[in-house]
Amino acid sequence: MGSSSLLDIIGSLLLGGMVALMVINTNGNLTKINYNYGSEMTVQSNLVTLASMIEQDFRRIGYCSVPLKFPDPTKALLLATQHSIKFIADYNADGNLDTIYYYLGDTVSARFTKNPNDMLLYKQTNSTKAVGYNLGVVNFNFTYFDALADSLAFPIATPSSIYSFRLSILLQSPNPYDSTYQYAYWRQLRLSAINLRNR
Amino acid sequence: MCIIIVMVAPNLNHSASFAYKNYLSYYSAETVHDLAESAASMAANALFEDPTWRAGFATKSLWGGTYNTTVKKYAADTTKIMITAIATFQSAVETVQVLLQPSSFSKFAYYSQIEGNISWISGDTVWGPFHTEDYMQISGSPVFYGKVTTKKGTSPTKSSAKFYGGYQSGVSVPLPTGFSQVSTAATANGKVISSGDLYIQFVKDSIYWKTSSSGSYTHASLSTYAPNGVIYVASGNIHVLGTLKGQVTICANGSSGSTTKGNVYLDDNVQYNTDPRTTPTSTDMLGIVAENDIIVTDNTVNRADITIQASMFSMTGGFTAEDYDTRPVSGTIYEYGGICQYQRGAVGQFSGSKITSGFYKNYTYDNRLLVSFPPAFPSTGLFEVLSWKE
Repeated sequence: MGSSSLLDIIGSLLLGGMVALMVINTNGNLTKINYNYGSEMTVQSNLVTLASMIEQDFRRIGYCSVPLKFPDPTKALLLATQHSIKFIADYNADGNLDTIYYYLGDTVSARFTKNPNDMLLYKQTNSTKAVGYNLGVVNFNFTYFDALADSLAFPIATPSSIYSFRLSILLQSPNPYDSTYQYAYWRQLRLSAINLRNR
Repeated sequence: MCIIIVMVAPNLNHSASFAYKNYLSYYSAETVHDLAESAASMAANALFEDPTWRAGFATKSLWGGTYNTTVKKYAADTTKIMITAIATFQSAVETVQVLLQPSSFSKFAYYSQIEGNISWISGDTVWGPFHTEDYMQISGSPVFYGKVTTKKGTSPTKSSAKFYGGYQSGVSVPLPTGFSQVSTAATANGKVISSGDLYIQFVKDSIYWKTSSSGSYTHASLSTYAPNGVIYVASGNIHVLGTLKGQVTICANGSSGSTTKGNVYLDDNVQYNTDPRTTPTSTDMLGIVAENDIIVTDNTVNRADITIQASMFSMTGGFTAEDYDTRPVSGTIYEYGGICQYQRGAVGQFSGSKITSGFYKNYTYDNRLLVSFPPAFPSTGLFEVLSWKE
């Protein structure tokens, strides 16, 4: 075997190794991108689902299809904290008043995900068992405002003084890739239920 | 490597396009909702400006979508109006329904045409809607839980008053100039006393009446005496007391410019058979309407408190106590309902924090008046929103 053949072999090995490394690297990047895209898609989809559900429910605060049953809708808000809200609404427009309660669980409630920050968001209707939504909620924060648009300090002793509120939601993916979580953020600057102040 | 890319790329494209579709879906839902809400708001505004407007909006374009609005009588109660706004944006459709009713003066916890020298001070608390056509004079931090509206604003312009229900100036709700609405209802299916005074006592769903203070009572069921519950004295005064079961409006009209007629005298407690404070489903409701004053009579029974459960309306006078400045301290007026008056009347005199004659005041708003009113009670001529369904 001549020296040129030896050079050919060494050269082939080097080139082959480089190509192999490129393939491995590309595979790794594509896997990461694929995973992140999928996670983002899931988080965004969860956010749209959550935002739609919340907006639909909050628009009904103080509504009653038989107004005489609930003459003073300013009393519709029963509880208002930074991470929870409880209110009265005629949910099915059947003339019967319902109580809807949204509250955030703790990080232990979503212990089955790898994300240490996510929590279950609970929704309870009347006295039925609360339903926990595993949507990767990390932040679920309310800010409440009075009739003059001044923010109200917690704790709010008289929920009837609330005129409108702001809700911020942050969702994260349940599992990370490379210690990085995908996230999506939603904020409704002024959620004002029209029935709350229509009298 | 090409094989890897070919295998993964479709999934990446799918994820990207799904995320975009997700965003578009949310955008469509928000836009169509805003369209429907705007259409309903525009229709409500048109109705506020012209209470006879029923034309609606037929297929109008806005923001790349369309909306349709109809205004019709509400089937379950034809005195009410239903606005239905239907909006379409791309493939999304949304409906908003607004129920409105004629606005009555009985909805006000407090209404005045003239405030005079009266100030609202620290310690004053008002629940329910509040309106004055005058300046609202404020000293300290009175508290208002209902919405406050004024025509001329507050004095001083900036104050420490707490407006938990909101505040708006430049709003005018003028008093009516007559009682045609009440007299028409009384003539149609109520009771009209064309001249002279009327003395009435409610005994649950019966009424005892006489036309002079010394005469004897005649009685009948309320449904026979005034089937629609409207009792109208065209030229005289009304004296009233008793416990009411039902819905009644009594109205004393007088001669123009005369103060000897058109007054309603409260000769003793006037209260409901079923107290709405303990039984919110109570349907008992009383309207007291006077061209001049509504007066707590200076008599023996009224020397130890008086309870008044009614919505009161005084077109040219106010709610006052007879001989408020000379009668002895007579306890407290427990008023449950609302008071609309041309000018706030006096019910006592005080020195420091104690009264020296007349009554203390304990006024509470009847929340039912936010959505219902006594029969033929004077109307503002406008419509107000009862419910908004999205």
